This record gives sequence, C-alpha cells and structure tokens, in this order.
Amino acid sequence: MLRLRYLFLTLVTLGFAGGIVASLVHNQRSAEMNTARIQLSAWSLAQLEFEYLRFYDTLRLYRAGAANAERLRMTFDLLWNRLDVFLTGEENRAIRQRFGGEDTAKALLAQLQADETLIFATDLKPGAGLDAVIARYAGFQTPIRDLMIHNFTGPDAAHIADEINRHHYLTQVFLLGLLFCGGALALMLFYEARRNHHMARNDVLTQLPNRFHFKTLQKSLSHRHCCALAVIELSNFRAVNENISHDAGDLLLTRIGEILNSLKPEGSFIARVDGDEFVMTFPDGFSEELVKSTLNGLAIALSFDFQNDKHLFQVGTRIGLCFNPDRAFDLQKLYQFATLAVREQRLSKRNGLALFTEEINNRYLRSQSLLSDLKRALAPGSKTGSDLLLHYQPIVACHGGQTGVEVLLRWLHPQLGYISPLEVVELAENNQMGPQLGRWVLQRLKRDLLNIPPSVRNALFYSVNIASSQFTRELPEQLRAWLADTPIRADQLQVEMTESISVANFVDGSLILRRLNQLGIQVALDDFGTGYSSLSYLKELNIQRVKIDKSFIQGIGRNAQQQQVVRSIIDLCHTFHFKVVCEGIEDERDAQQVSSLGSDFAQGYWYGKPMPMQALLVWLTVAQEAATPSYPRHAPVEVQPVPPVE
Amino acid sequence: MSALPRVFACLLLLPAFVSAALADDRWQSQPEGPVILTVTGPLGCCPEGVALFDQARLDALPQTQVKTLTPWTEQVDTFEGVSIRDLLVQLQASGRFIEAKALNDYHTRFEVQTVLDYPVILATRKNGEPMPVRNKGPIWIIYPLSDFPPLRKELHHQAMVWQLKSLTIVE
Repeated sequence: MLRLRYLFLTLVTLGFAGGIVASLVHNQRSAEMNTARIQLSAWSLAQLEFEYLRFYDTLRLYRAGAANAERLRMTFDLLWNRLDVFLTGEENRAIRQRFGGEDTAKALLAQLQADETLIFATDLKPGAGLDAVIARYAGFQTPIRDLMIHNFTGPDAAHIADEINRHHYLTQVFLLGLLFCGGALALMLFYEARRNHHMARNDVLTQLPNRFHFKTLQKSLSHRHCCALAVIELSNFRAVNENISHDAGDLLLTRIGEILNSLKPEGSFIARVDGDEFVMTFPDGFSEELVKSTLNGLAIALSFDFQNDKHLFQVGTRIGLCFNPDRAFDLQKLYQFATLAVREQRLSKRNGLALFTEEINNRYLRSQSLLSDLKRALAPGSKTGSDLLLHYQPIVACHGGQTGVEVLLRWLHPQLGYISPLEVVELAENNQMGPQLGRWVLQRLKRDLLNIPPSVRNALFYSVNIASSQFTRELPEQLRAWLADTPIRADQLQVEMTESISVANFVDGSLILRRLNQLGIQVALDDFGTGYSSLSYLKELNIQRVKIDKSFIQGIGRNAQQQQVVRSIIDLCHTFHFKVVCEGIEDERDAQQVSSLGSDFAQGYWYGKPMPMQALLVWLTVAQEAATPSYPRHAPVEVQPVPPVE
Repeated sequence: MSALPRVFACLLLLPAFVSAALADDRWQSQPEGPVILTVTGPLGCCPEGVALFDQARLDALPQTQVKTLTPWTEQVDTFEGVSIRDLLVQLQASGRFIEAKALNDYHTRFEVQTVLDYPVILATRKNGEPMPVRNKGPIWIIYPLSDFPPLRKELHHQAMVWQLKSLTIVE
C-alpha cells in the first residue's frame, strides 16, 4: 500500500515536472515561430520590398528624366544598406533562412555591387541606355514578391501556422495535465494530512485512539459526563512479546483491539495509552453494577490462551476501576486513581477487577513516602547508623559442618515502624532500585564483617539474597570485585535466589550460575516447593543447595504426610547432589524431625531469629559453649528483641 | 547621473534671458560641408529653432565612444560620436521627447530621459571609419546595449535609427 502510494506520488511528480518542461519548450517554440513569422519578418520583408521598389521606381523615373541622379544614388545606397541589414545579424537570421530569402538578397546585393560603378559614374545619363539595367532589376520583382507571399501564405507558411497552433494545443494539454497533477498532489496532500492526523491520534494496531488522543480528551471532555474510568492492563503481554515474537505481540494486540471495539459500550471511549494498557470511560447513565458487570465480562473476554507452535501463554487482564460518584474528579484524576488500583493488582500478581478505594490510595502514598525514604537511606552519602541495617539468621548444620548465616535486610522506619524486608525489596524492585539496594547490602555486609574477630568471620558462611534485577550477567563480576575487597573467601559466600528469577531468564541464568560456581560461590535455591519446582530445571541449574520452603516444615513434627513429602524432596535433592536446608524450624520436634529426615542444614526461630551482628557474636559464643558436636539445641537466649515479621 | 537632469533643467530655464547673448551662428548658419543632420525644436542656442550640422560640426563636439553588439551586427564594434546628452546641452534644448527621422523616412520617438540616463550617441564612426549610407551611415543612433542590459529591449532597439537625418525636440 505504502509502495503504491510512493509510486503514485513519484508518477504525479514526474508528470508535473514533465508537464512544466514540455509546456516551457512548446511555449518557447511557439513564441519563436510567432516572432519569426509575424513581427520581425513582416517588418524586415516589407522594408526589403519597399526599398527595392523605391530604387527600381527611381531608376525608371531617372531613365524617363523625372528624377535626378542624386535621388537615384540615394535609393541605391538605401537598398544596399537594407540588403546588408537583411543579410547580417541576429534579428533577421530566421527570416533569411527560409524560402531562399538569403539567396535572393545576396543575388540582389551582388547586382548592386556590379552596377555600382555605372550608377555612380559621372557621365550617367537618363535614356534608353538604362533599359538593360532596368531589365536586370525587374527580374527581382517576382522573387521578392514570392518571398513575401511564401512567408505569409502558401503550404509552408500554413504549415508554420499549423505548427504554431499545434504547439498551442500541446501547451494547453500540458497545462491541463499540470492542473490535473497539481490537483492530484493537492488531493494526496489532503489525504496524507488526514491520515497523519488520524495516525497521530489513533493506534495502528488496535485501531483505537492513542494516548495523545486521550490526553486531548482530558482537556476537552467535561468530567461531569464521565461516571467511571477503568484502566485495563494485560498480564503476560510482555512475555508474549519477548518469548514468542513482537509479531505475535502485535497479533495479540490486534485481537485485544477487536475485542474491545466489539464490546465497547455505547458512548464509551476506549484508548490504548501504553504498550499493554487501555483506558475505558463510562458515560453518564451507567449504574455501578452495569459498569462492574461490563468490566467483569471484559476481563473474561480478555483472558485466553495465546499459543504458537512452541509456547502457550495465558493472557490475563487486570482492571483498575474508579467511580466518579459526585462528578468531582476530572479525567486525569480518574485515570490516576484507576492506575493505582490496577497497579495494586499488578504488584500482587492478581488478575481481574479492582476498585479504587481510599486504602489503595493510602497504600500508594505510603509506598511513595517509603520510596523517598529508601532513596535517602541508600544514597551514597547517607549517614551510618540509619534505620536501614542488616540482620543475620543462623543456618546450622544438622549432622556436623560449617555454620552459616542468612543475611537479611531490616528497616525500622522512624514513623512507620518495622518495614518487612519483602516490602523493601518489592519497593526497590518496582522502582528500578533493586541493583542499588543489592550494592548497599554488600557494602554493609563488608562493613559488618570488618568489625568481627577474624576467627569468627572465617568460620561462617554467608548467604545473601539476590533480587531479580540483580540477576544479570554483571553479577559474577560484581561479586568477584566485592570478594577481592572483603576479608572472606569465595567459598564462604552463597547467593540465594528464588526459582522464578533463574527460570525467567533460563539461558542467561545458567551462564550466570556457572560463572558464580567458577568463582567458588555456591548458589542456593530459595523457597523451594512454592514455585515451578520443575525437575528439569532443577537438573539443569548449576545450584548447590535447595532451601525447602517453611510452609512444608512448620508443624512437620506432628504431620506424617508432611514428613513423607519433605523426605521425598530431600531424597530427590540428594540424588541431584544438592545440600538441603529446611527453613522455618520453630520448635524442637520440627528440628529433630528434619534432622532425622536427612536435611543437611536447618534454619528457624528455634535456632535463632535474625539478629544484629553483635547479637550474633553472642549467639555463636553460647552455641559453642553448649555441647558440640551436633545441633540442634534449645533456642538460644533472646539477645535483642526483633520485631515480628509481618 | 542624477545631478544631470537638474543641470539640464537649469539650462532649460536660461534661454529666455540669455539666448540673445549666447545666440550665434555656430549652429544656425549653413555649414561648409553638406548638411547631414538637422535639429529642430526649442533650442536655446538658436532662436529660429533649427540647428544644422555637417560632419565637421559634429566632429567638433565632445566625442563619446561606445563598444557594443547590436541585433544587426555580428561582433562588438567601436562606435564614436557626440552623445545626444552633450548635443542637447550644447544646443540648450528643452523638451521631453525626441523624434528621430532617417533618410528612408523611418521615424521614431523616444524619451529625453533615456539619453540623459545612458550614454546614447549619434555614431558617425564605426571602428574609426566614417559610415557610408550603405552601412547605416552617415549617422546611427547607438545605444550601449552591451554595457547596459536594461537597454536590451525592443523599445530601445526601435530607437536605434540608422541613416539618421534629423532630430526634433518636442515637449
């Protein structure tokens, strides 16, 4: 279509240019011919004939004695001059080249030159002696007359006249062509402008109005006519785009556009405002129930499986809805609120409809406030001893071996109190601050490590959690550099990550894990059992430890089925040569149980809560004093109150 | 150039008072040689309104050279003669138009302003040689076409009278 348009445009432009050139050429030729034939030639020929006749007549009068010699010589000179003018210069070039004009004029001039002596002779006398001379000039009367006649009449002259007419006609045709081309160009311009206008305001894929259009509407549409606004977001769209192809993503969008267009309620406005985000307004007269049922229907219609040869993606829809009960909000505000509602859905990975409420707004405001505080706390110049710090939870070996600690983030906010590490990580991850937070953790860990006795430091291993934004190809290099600057060995460092992190980017993931292993850093898979728990991934991943999620552990001492499951997991992991860590040990029975099931390590409040480094040192001392060689033991002394995990 | 019309205008005002004093027979009397140019009209120098010129009288006036190509010649030639402006000053002529007439009775009219603005001459020599009647002589009004592109118009081409025999100054 585009190619055709360009072809047409090229043709029209060529036609235009051709028309102009042709018109100019024909016009020029026509003008030249007109000039040659009519104006100058008429004058020139008339003068030639006139001077010739004057001389000829004077010669005859002189013969008859009715004119004097002076007069005769004057007309002789004037004719000579006229012939000279006729035969020389640019002005008469065209006319002398036609109809033998030049030959005739040259012959006449030659005759004058031949008779010069005679005419200017002092003994020139009138009378019959001049008859021969008169006869010589009489012979020119017919050729000169013919020259005149041929130039203005006869087939050749008519041919010129016809040529002029033909050129005139062609000029007119070309000018009409130009007019047509000009019209076509103007028409194309009009259509292009209209198309551009349409494209500027509409999305090509979905044929829905775009963000720009929606923004224009925000300014123009009175919010009094909008009773509700919904923000519709696709889940998994990015996965389709990245894992299948952008073409598939486009196809998906086209399909979504069709669905939205077909389900669009009367009077409603739908726009695609972002990659996978749509906005839908509801005009006055829609009851809350109708709006909700419409959107619920839409959520169902927009949840489907999208499949190509290899992949199946479940496309889901999140909808944030905001009502405008008193018509107090303008479109911008409604859009902002509905966005917050859908944002909550997205962050909690839920699909379906969410209504904007005051709580959502409060949560948002809280997260914004936290975010700015977090930014301040993470800033390079932030003073030490701020409310963001690290706690360490012991990981004990069940059957002898190295004791370790899991490095955990703690944030005691001055106003909001204890903030869950999950919330902190999520906040950072959702606001592109994950890598910064990760760097902060490593920096703080290094500082803490420098403050403890080397004997203690060297005896432990340290397990650091890695967020998905940190799990990049730069991670091994980052840790290598950190280790070079930190007084622990690579084999004392472990990274913990959830399955979803490595699975989301499996190809890169394997590479990163292999690099980490090459550096001597061990990798532990966190929260095992809650995610994909795919055996094939488990086999492929370069990991050394598996941490069984606490949901499998808590209460295991009293639940035979749970024991069976955990035993199977432990056996399976041992088959793959993974060490197993059981998390969430809260009482002695659980501790004994996991140990007897073969778990290599255990972690939980029974052994020790997450605690500051100084408290950990005390805990280690107490643990050492208690009988070795084996854990578990009773819960150690509470060294410092730690706020409960939310 | 712009000063000239004013000078010329002043001269035009003079004749009524000083013409008698200045009047002499320099231009009015019959010249020794054959008359080749007659100038008529309101002339300050000549109360009878007629000035007669033979070749010698024309040669005695300040001479101006113009090198130009014309539509009737095929190379640049050097023309020489009195400029019409100088002639009008000498004759203390007043008027807005000049009518030029040729031996073959061709005649045309052009504006005095043109000859004040450009060095238009009454050429009596072409490449140093007097011009015979057979070669557009004895006088050819030459416009400096090559030097002044604005003059290359049919209007001025028509005023380039050859075989000039008389000039008439008219209001």
